[in-house]
Amino acid sequence: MTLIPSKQKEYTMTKRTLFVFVVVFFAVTLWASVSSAQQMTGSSWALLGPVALCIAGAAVAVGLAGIGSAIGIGYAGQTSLGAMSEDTANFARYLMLTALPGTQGIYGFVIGFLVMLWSGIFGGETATLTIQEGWQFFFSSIPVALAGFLSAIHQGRVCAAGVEMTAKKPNEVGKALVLGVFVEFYAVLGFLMSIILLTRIRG
Amino acid sequence: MKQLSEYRLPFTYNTHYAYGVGRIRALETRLLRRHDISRLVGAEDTDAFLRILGETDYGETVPSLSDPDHFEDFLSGHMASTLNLIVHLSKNPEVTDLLKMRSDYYNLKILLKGSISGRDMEFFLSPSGQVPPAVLLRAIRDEDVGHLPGYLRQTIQTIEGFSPSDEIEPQSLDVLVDKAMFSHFLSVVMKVGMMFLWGWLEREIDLLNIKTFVRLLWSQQAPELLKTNLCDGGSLAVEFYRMLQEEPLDGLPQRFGQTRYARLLDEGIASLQTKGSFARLEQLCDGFLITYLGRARLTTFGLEPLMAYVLIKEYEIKAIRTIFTCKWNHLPPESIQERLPDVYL
Repeated sequence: MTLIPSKQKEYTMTKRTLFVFVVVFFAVTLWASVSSAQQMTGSSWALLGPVALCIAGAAVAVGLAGIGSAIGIGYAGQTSLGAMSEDTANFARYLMLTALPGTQGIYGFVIGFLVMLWSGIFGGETATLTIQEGWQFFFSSIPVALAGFLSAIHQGRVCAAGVEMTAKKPNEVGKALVLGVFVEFYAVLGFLMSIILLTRIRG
Repeated sequence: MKQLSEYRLPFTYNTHYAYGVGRIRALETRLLRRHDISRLVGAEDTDAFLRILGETDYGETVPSLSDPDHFEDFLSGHMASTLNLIVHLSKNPEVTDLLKMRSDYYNLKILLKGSISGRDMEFFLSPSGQVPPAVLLRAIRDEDVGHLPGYLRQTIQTIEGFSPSDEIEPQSLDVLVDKAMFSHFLSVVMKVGMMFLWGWLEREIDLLNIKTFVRLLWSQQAPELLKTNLCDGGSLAVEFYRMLQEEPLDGLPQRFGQTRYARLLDEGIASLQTKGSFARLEQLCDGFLITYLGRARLTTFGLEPLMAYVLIKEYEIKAIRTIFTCKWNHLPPESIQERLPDVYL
């Protein structure tokens, strides 16, 4: 007798988000390629190419990292509320664990901001921006977007488990935080790589 | 030797129970510990027992003991509120309803036995079921089962088909209801694909069959009873027991050597042969199931921790009831310990 595995809606949701990301990524790539070709032929659409790529990079960084953080905080927050509905004594401990997956969203926002700033979009200095630089800005946003998105979800799981452990052993919250920070480390790596790449684009 | 499957944890992405599991983890800290149970067992009398119980999570509602019946109501109330909480937290009512249906099947057994023996069994009915005991009682008394839920109606019809007369043995009645219950539960659990509960049911059926089998061998009853008294659905097929029906009791642990029940049988049968009592075997079986439920502690999300909490709470209430009954009858602590699962000792 074999068991039929139940549909894992959460897994489906993650897959769907990744699918959307991949579709957006290829759509932008296609658009930029067309723009690049148009730039060579002197079409008026050409000027939209690099700016659009920078905006897409900023949007992907902020959007994906933010979605990941929201999902991660959702897991840890729900678990914390469940534990607090029986005992509110550990609120401060639960708060630390719940806030931890939120940092990826901040990293994504910082990178998005830097892309907009250093590409000259904020200052209206996009005239000299080339299509190659547009691509570079776009790809520089990918490390923080992907690392932030996935690490925040998994950090949310670790923090939710940490909340469950803290409910039973409140004095062990430090250990739960340390394990949560291990996941954070990879979001930090993605964030640093994005910054390093951005600093190399326009000198 | 334990099998690989003993260590396999369910791999699940189901995060829908984050709130529920958080709440259950907080509640689990209030379950009785080994230390609490030892204190209850060591209580001098029922008054001391109630005083110690009052210091635990049961403290707010511990009754004053004017009548032992009140104590049963108190325990039933606790069980009912636990079940209601889990049903409230559940997003899979088809699974959590099984917990309530267990009480329905139990009530059905009690009432059918009562109707055969002509005794009033109303006192023993559990109020935790889906069907109110009064409704079930009326249906059995009036022989009008038309408005009962399908699973109860079907079970009653199966029993009537098995023996239309009132001469059915109470033990056979238990087996028939158990068979119907396990078959129903397994079909639901298979449909939703909940491995944890599947494993629980499989072990419960196995242990029920093992206990029945050992009893039949011990009392040297007719081997043909094996054909009817064992339930299907366990990890050990009914044919396995039939093959062993000529085996002496001493040889059973060796024949079960490749199963997860080898150690349990080794110790249980040794105790049966030296003391002539099934208490140790019962104790080991309960301990085995409680240990299995402990796996849910390693699951971060999902329905498993909720289901495990209810079942562990059921064992806790059973242990409190056992200790109280023993105290009421002035039994010494050693006799009480024999009746409690190992994990509480």
